Amino acid sequence: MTKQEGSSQAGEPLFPVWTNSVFRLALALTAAVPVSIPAVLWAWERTPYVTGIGIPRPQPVKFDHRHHVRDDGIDCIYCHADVERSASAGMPATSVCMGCHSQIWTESQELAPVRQAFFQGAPLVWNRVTRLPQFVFFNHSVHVNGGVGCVSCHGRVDDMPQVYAVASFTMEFCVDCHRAPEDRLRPLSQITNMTWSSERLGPESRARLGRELDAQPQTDCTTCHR
Amino acid sequence: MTAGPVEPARLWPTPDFSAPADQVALLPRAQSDAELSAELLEKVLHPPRWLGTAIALTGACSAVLAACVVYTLLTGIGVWGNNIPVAWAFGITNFVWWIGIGHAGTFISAFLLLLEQRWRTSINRFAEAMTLFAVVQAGIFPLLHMGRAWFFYWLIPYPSTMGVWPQFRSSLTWDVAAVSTYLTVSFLFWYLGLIPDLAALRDYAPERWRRRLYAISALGWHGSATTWRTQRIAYGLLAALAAPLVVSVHSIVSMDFAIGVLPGWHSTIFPPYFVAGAIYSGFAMVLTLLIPARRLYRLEHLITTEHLDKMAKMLLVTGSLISYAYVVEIYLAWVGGDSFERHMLLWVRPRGPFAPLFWTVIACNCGSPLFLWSRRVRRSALCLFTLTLTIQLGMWLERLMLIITSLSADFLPTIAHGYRPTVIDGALLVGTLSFFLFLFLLFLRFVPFIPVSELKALQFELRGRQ
Amino acid sequence: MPPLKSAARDSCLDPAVPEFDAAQDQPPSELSRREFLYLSGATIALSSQALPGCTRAPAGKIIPYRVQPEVIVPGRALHYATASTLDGYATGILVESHEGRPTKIEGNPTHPASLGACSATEQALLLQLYDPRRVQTVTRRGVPAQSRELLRVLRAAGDAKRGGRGVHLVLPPFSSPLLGSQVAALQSRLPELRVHVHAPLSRVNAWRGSRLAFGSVLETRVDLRQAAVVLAIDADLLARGPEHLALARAFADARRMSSAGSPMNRLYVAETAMTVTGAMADHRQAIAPSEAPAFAAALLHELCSLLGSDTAAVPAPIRSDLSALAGTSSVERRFTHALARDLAAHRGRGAVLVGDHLPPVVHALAHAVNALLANGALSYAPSPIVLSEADSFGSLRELRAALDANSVESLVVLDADVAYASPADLELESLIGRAKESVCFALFPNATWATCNWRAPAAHMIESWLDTRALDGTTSIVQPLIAPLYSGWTPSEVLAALLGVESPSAHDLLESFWRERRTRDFESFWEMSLVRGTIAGTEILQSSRPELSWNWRSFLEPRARLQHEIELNLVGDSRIHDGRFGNHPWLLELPCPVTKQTWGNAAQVAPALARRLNITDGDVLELTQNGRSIELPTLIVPGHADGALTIALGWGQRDMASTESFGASGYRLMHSDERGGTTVRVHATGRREALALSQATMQLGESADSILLVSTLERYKAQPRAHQPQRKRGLSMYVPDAPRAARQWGMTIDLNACTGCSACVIACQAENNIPSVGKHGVLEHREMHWLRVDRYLAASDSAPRVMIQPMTCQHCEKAPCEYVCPTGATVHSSDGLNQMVYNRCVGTRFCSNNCPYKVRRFNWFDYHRGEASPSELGHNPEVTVRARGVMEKCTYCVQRIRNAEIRAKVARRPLADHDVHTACEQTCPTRAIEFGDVNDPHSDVAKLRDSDRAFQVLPELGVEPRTRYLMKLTNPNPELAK
Repeated sequence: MTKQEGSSQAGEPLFPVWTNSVFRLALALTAAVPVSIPAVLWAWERTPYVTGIGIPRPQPVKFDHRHHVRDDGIDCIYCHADVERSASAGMPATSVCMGCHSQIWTESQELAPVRQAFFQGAPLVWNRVTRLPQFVFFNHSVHVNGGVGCVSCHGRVDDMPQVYAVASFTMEFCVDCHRAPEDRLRPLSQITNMTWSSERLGPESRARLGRELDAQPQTDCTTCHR
Repeated sequence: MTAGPVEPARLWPTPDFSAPADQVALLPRAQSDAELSAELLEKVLHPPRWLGTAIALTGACSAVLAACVVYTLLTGIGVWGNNIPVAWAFGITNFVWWIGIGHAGTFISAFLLLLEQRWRTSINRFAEAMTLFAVVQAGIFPLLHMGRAWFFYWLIPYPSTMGVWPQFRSSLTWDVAAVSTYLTVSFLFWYLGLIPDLAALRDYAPERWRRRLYAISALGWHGSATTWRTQRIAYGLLAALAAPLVVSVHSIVSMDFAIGVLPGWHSTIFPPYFVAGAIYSGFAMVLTLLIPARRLYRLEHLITTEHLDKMAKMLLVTGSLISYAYVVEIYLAWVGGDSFERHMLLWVRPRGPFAPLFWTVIACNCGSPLFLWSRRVRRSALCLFTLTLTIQLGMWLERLMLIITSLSADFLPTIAHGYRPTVIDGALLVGTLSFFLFLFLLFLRFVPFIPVSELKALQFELRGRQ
Repeated sequence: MPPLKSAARDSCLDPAVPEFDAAQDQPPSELSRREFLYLSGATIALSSQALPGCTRAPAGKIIPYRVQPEVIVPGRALHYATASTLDGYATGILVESHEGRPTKIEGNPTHPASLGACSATEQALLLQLYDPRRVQTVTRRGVPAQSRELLRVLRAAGDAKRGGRGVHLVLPPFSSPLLGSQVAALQSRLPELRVHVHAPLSRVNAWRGSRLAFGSVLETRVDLRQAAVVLAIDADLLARGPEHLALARAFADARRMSSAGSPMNRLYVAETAMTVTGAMADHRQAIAPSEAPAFAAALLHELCSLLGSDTAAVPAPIRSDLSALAGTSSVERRFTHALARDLAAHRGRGAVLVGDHLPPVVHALAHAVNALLANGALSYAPSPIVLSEADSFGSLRELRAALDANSVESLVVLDADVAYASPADLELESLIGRAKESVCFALFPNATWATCNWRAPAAHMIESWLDTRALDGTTSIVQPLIAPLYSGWTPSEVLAALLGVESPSAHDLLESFWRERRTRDFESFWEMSLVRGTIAGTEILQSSRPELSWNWRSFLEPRARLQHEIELNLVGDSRIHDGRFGNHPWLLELPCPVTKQTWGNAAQVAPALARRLNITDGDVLELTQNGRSIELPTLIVPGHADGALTIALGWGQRDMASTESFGASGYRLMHSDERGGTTVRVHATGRREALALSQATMQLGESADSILLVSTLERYKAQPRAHQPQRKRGLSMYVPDAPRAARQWGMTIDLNACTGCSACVIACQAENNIPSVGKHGVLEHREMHWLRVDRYLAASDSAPRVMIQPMTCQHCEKAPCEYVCPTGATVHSSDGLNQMVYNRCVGTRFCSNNCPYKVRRFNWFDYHRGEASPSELGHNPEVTVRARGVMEKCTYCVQRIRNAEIRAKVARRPLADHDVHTACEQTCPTRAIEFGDVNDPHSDVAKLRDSDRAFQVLPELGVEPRTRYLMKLTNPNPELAK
């Protein structure tokens, strides 16, 4: 027997007793890591912080959709005029605002930026609310002409003092509808109607509607990615 | 305390004191457990002087690897020599080569354990460590060679916001599973075998901090009979789990080529042929590392010429398998009706622009093992060392040849184009080599690379208690 | 369409900014976008700074119009008709515009010189417009100056009191009626003004030839549909010249072979360097430039003896001279004889055409042959080019003399690089400095620009108001799609300034000019011409039979054959023309249709000559001619005339913006009294230079038949389906990725029509935002072209048979690339497309390895990052700009497919055949490419797929490519066949 071996055998314990439980805990945690990390990431991607759902964006002009849409009953297409014929819904030109506001609220301080934009020619700069990645090619016209209502993606804008996103436009969100469009379709007369809901239709009339609108959305990648 | 089986575990053969001479030759010198402990554990506690320098040196070279990786990730794959049509080259070559080398370790530890080959005892941990570090090197390249490595996790099945999954028909998706499984299993296997010796170190080490350190890494091992029993059983089970991996992993890797339509790739003999090649290069690597190590650590009496001889025979077997595979491949191309395949194997490779590459491969992989028919060569450390080096070179070149010849001239002559590696390509290869050595030297530094406890057991087995 | 004039102007000049989904094209830098807002003002700014508020979601800005112009619908493209001009001849084009940004150029179907097609040159104008290296400011001796100072200088030069003494005006050839009237006005106002029309590649020899033959300058026009036998003497009629697009279309129509029974013309070509036309020839004879007259004479001589009494018109002395000259022809009699017999056999249905640069007498001889044969395909008309009657046309000798004599008060150079693109013996580059005042209006900082002391930006075609005429006289209004980015001057504005106009505006000049000519109902006339892109009734009247004069005997004396000397053959480059596109990345990287060389020119020699000189590809030669010498790498071209050496002009320009220059300038060896025909001394330097060839070999290799099929007309007529393998559709282990929709897209490419002109390559590049990779990139084989034109050679080195095969993604139904992708980034669509999803790609490149056609391209670097403003504004907003590390490939222009489907859906009508054109199909001059729904039995593409000539490349792989090819047929003369 060598000296070291003797010493090591005679020596007092290397660790206090409580370290055992610490050690076991440590082992348990190490085992948990591979499971927990992905889980956390998965949840994180779906938080409003990431998706921006329900978070209103400040705008240069306090434009209130509640007032314009619900009280005044202005149709969406009156301002977002390109929605039926182009990929982009179109933001109203300042002249459109002035169409009314050269007559009413001409003195309102709220509208000062609008008047300035129109007369000085310094354009209004709005903050984007709903945003798609740059590799996604969304086309408004084919949706509104295909029986998909504004509310389906943009929510009850007529209830929004300040507009916010109601859906995270993830691929899942789009593909879900593209795979089973029937329940989301509505008659073309109801496209801009914020309150209409397809529950009003029975299953068979929904099917008929689907046939009438010839709704066969593609799920091919190139439908949106080009 | 002194380790040693009080009651032999199930997977352990009953003591046989009339062991045959060749078996006894595996442990020529009769040593007591204490002597063995002293000799082997001392080497860890008081390592040779050269070791520190070597570690520093290889560590420095590994920094080059890090630099190249970062540069590639920031600039793009364009810094490599790849082109269209040769979209794969050094990267994938290195991957296949390293993962192949990894196979010897598991083969030695798992297969030979299950086959109760006693000669594995002195070398298995060595081989397992090598496996582990080789797989680490291999793991670098599949990630790095991707154009957008930061999206590597798209190859892993998980519920994404895109609602899409990996494409499971692609062998690359399976590579991820194969390599990661292989890494995990070989690590567990290595560590499980290591525990008793860590415990021994804990008890043996002079300083308290060292004892604590080893105590933690020994996971509270106290050599009771039940612990031993459990450990042996777990070891055996892992062996049973690892053994099929030896076959499956490299078969999957071979699919990276075999599922392609390219002439020279599109072939069903790839899986067995790749596995054989893997073990071939793996054993070569073990020998390359073992021969200097046993010399520097003066352990010729534990890692004997008997061991070398047995491994040399393995080289001979696998080498012959490889040569056979080459012949079959070419023969099939010749009798098969596919004109492109025939063109590739009968013209492009042996006579095309890459002919020198091809003939070097033949010389290294088919020529050099022939020397091993002679017993003198098998038992001469120097000859074996040189041979193993040529074999490894040969196996690396073989992967390269396989990849770039088929890519550089496949179907349409108009797109045929050669390949020239860049400095980065070379630096990445050298970098992984030195990183591999770096990890390996660390291993030599901190744990006994010969399984002391198993050796004692073998001693007991062959000669009974001293 | 609403008034285009106003539309075109509003979209450019209105400072208001429309909102559109800017997600569609991605400005690499925000700054550049702002700059563009400022410049042309019609798009959206993105800002990256995050908003207050607890969200990570990136905040974009939306900037709406102040007042939205009624024609502009953000997100929808508009097309405007205009015209591009090359050497004075117009080609009608349509320019696509997104919110005021020109993004694509197409041919104008109503224009006679385009017929809806475009050449690479027109396609490339787009990138040129946005090129940041353009001249941007007015400078005087390098110091920035005001343009009104320059205006003052010009008005001084045009001062009537001085009468134009010592004022020299240098112009490129032009056909513009407006410029014509302005020049006329100038000449009457300034009697001593000297006007030099400079064109290194002008048709002046052809005009001289017609003067010899008919006594007046006439343009030869040919309708190849009426020609059964065509002979081209060093005339690259299918790829060069004012009407080549229309000619190529007509030629292809005569070889379309819609059924085995249909007729097919026969093309003979006698030329020096291999050209696109030569590659299409049924019989090709290589002749040195100096042999052309003898050959033409020999042909006429043969015909005289064949036609006998009908050639009584040929005067006896001419006959004797002809036989004398014919004797010196080195072309073997067998060829000439068979050719003559063939022409005689198809009397009235032949055509003999001569290259512009050949000596006048060859043209005269050709005119005589055509006249004797009464070839109905040919007709003659005065040239639309102004001043074409002038003897000094295309010559700069006077200018040189004046400069020598220091008599040049002020020199005004308009968009003509005289210092570089002129015979070296004139030494203009060094002499221009002698002019007291020299003004240069240039698009790019070229050699002339550098030598002049006043340097000013010229307006780009897409920025200009002008008018221009096609070969047949059809006049087009050139309208701008964007306000001049760098306030460049149009020629009309410069001339107006010389005429003393206070503040000339191109638009007003043009409008008032036409207002004078179209007094009644001008507004509708103006709008109509802008909408159609052509002005009705402006064609020049043609006469089919001008009186032949035989007084060119003096030209017939046989010239001494140049023995043991190497003739120099200087030709215009097939991509950069005379050098005006010498810095254009797209065109520099476009492989030469014949040699497949990119990023440079070379000394093209025949294999035999190379063997004699003991040189190989890449050996650098020193070429010397009367004292001046250049160095160029050798390029061996099978089929090139032995004893001659060809150099493409236009290379080796020192681009002031970037230090690099590619190739060497053939103008250094050009002599002012003659183009071509002179000899050159060759000396191998022993150095080597890597040639950036996009294609390594042109040999077909063993398995030729599985790559492409060629046959002869009679063999095909004998058994039309001979080549069709009785192959069943291969079985597959894999279920198709996607359910098959009713519509299945597919393509056919007719190898009998394809000339390999490569216009499709640039069209694809422009449509799909494909980057250029530079010379180094090509050398490393990293070209990004989605569509490449493969070229194969067979038969002998001296008389090779050329086969051309455009190769792009075949959209295999069982695509090998799809099952190897680990992330499913390339999958099949329900309508049969092999989709590439960039944003899902991680870049393993396995798909490329497994692609039998190797048509996939990888982004080795971030090719778009270095992109300087405003060039990224030319991107097609409908196509993703690919990032580093992803694969890309031909998508069958899926953006066009999807948008067409959406348009149809919105309009509630079914999609019709030809609602979708791929970019390559749309621009193809010969309509060789056909795209459509292969499931619809009535679609053209489906019919072509079923034709006897249809085949697939590499059928044995069983990948079922959606792109099918139609077998190439040749129509050899039985006499020469054996």
